[in-house]
Amino acid sequence: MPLMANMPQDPKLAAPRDSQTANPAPASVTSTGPTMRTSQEGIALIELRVEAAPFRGRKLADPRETEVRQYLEDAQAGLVAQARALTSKAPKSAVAWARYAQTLIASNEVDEAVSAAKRTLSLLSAHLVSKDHDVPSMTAKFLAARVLALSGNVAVAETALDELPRTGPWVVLFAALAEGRGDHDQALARLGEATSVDALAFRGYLLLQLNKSQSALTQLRAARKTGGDSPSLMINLAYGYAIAGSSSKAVRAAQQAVAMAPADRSASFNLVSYLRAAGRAGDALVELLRLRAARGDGDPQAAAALADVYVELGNRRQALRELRRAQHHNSFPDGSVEQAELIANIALLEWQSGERRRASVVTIIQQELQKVGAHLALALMLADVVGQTSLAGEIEEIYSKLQEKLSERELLPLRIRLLMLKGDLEGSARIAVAHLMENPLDSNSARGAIVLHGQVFGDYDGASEIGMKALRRLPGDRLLINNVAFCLAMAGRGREADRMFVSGTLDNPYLLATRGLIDFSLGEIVSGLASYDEAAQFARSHTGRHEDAEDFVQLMRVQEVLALHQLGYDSRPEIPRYLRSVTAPRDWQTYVSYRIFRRISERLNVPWVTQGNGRSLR
Amino acid sequence: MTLDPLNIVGNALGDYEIVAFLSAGAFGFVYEALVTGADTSVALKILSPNAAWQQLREFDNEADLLLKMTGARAVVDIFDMGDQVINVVAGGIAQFTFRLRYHVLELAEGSLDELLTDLQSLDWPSRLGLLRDVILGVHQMHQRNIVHRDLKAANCLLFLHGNGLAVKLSDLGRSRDLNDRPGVGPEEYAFGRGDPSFAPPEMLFGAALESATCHRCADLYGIGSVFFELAVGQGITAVALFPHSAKVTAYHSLPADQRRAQYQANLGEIRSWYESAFDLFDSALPKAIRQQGGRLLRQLCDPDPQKRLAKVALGKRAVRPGELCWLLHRADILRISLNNDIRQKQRLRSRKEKVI
Repeated sequence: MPLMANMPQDPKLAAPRDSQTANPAPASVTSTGPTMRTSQEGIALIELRVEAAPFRGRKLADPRETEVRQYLEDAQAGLVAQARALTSKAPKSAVAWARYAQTLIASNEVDEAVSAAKRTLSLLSAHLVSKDHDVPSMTAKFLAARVLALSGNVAVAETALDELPRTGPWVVLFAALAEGRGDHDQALARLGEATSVDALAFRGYLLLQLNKSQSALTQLRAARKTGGDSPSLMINLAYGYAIAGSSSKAVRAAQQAVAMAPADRSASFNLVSYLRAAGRAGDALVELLRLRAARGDGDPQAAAALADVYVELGNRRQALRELRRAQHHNSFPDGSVEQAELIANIALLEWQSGERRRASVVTIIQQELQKVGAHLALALMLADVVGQTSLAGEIEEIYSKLQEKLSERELLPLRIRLLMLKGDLEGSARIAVAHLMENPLDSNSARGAIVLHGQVFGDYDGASEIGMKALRRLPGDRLLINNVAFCLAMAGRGREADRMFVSGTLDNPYLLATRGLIDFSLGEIVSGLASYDEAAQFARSHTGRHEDAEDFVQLMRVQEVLALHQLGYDSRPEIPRYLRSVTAPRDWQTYVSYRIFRRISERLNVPWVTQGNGRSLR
Repeated sequence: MTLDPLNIVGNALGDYEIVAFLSAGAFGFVYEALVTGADTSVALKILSPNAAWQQLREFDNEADLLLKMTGARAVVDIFDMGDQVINVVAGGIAQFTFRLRYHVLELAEGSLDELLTDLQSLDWPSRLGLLRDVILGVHQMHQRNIVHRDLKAANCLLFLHGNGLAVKLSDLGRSRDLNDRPGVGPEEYAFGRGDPSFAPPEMLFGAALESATCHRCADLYGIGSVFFELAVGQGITAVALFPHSAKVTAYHSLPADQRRAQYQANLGEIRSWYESAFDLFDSALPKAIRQQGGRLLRQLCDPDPQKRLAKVALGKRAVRPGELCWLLHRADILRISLNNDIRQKQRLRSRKEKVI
């Protein structure tokens, strides 16, 4: 039986009633599952995008520093006066106006900065810049363009930068502006043949964004050779190795990044992700504990990451302790994103530990969404926990609000869920696979996409191929292995499924159920039935809430019957009587799981799911 | 901008008759004044009446340090200081009473940044001469164990010297006498307080140390920054680091020790951000000194403060900490190389003309 996320591997998982995500049946495995979510998680490229923002000096948060703040403000005002005086003395000097524009933007006087920058450009256009010699004019134009880009006048900035030669510090900014629009190809074209270290590193970053890992690795190695190691370069190099399927090299490179920047959260999180992808959750835990020691208790993102690993290791109690400690350690203002994420994650874990009902989790997430406004991580969690078609309107509303601040690419996971909730299963499956292609290191996407593809299109062969490709990058992901084995078994490739299936103790009802399915696929029906029974028993004895355990078993039995139909064993004498009369419960019709089951049953010509007489299972 | 922000032109301040407003800064205002009974013009640097205690402290600090620098040819001279309560009538109706603190300094012709607004008209031998003056000023300060900590072209004043111009360092408000106890907490020294467009990277990252070497290295970066300004017209920090400002400010939330450790770890990357600025500088230099000048700037503006110091060959005498003779020597080599090249080109040109 396939799994959907990193949470359900703990045998104490409370399978929620019909949740399309937390539901252990294949139909429910179409998304990433109700995993803990924070705004920043998992593997991430270090963005080498060049910001146009000037350095604005130190942030002062401590009220005792008000005197310093006053002093700095006075100092900034003095700098502005000084720069302004220079433009008064030399009103036709582009150099003076560019200096003034820089100083103004650093003082947050945006409108004046824009007019100073435009004045710089108009002075420069008055006399054509000789591209070979007039370095001060070219630099003035570059700085004016940067001020304009920062203040939102990107088109004017790009026009100005386009007039400059294709070498110099402006090249990376010119490319970065194209990258900011999501146009990676143009960004690459604008970088041209530039061979400075930051151009090499940026080119590597862009190629990684385009999933051209080998070319990216060449660029990143060249940048490393020329400019030496740096944490962000090593992180991107690690990412490149991971995309290319060299997980051990990825771990090594990320370890180097962590060694260089021990308190850097992104370096540490990347390393943790590679370790987990390689099946080294214990090492990942050690790394996160080290990060916590380096950054001090109470970092909410480190706590969430730690909790996630604890869940993977089966220690949900400790996971809850980490999150609660982070919540108590900080005094986040009510309505802050950090606070909302922590509260929602705690509620989710409490539900999965049997301490809370699902309805209560839904209420909490909705309350937090009201406090913080549209928020991707919370919206994903809500969609995963509820999984009912009635939620489509609410998710659509959040989705349209998020469209204003996030790119389509960032919103894809939510779009997959939205399409499912609206009944467009094919569209959802297609986007899920496309999303996986763009994010090949996203284990949650991989787990969900392959099963969804198999179930919706009945193309288990294709799903297996996609899954095995993903496994080259995430070789130690037990849940992904489980899902790929599921697809292989459903495609009738029992031997392959058996060969690749997880070794060791099957301490999880999902793994036990998949074991049963593989046995079915190998023709060992009695042994398969026994594994399914074992899975049911395991779920009942380890699930926190009784009703959740029963839901799990019910779904598992439906999946078992569908598998028998798929493999053509539905009339075999070994199949017990109760399995011949399995039905789908009547109240499933509002759940996405139901839609998927119906799609499978229609394909297999099994009438009972669509009719649904509501008979309960053993 | 108002022509007389304090409305005191025409009034007397001590023995000085104020004749014109010159400029304004964070501390207050600069006026031109005549010494009463003599035909000598001076600059009056007047502290803003609204100045906070920190500005007052810097103002007093500047006077102390300028007095200590008396006799140094490349640092601006201070003649007098004082404070006086004056009444000012505004608009012919309202009368205000100010207590004004002032320094009397030698009057400059202008500041170096004014020359940068038209770099094409400033030839390279002159630029190198001005750079040498800046180095000399820093050398003289370091010899007296004083560090400037806010070097930029705008803080270098221009004076007529023979047929040409000479530079003297000014604006010592943020400077420090290394023999004295620190005036502010270590965090303030870590971040520095100068203009961020010209400040050394370790200060922007909050990774500077409260140590004599670190302060001296910051001044070396300042010299490099002025060199860059003389070639490009802008501050090197603005060109190299501002595009990465988000990464810079991300450091500020870290504790001091982690900030410094992370800065050390990231030196390679930060150095790479400077590379394109260095290339730009190279392209602005005359061919004859491109290699040497570029190498010198790379040394002076290296993100690793220790690498800005003089390199001592094995078996050679170590350079004393406050000594910048090595840098003066290198500036001289640049000037000589450039002058030789110019002379050679002139000779070739005249030969060609003769042949024709």
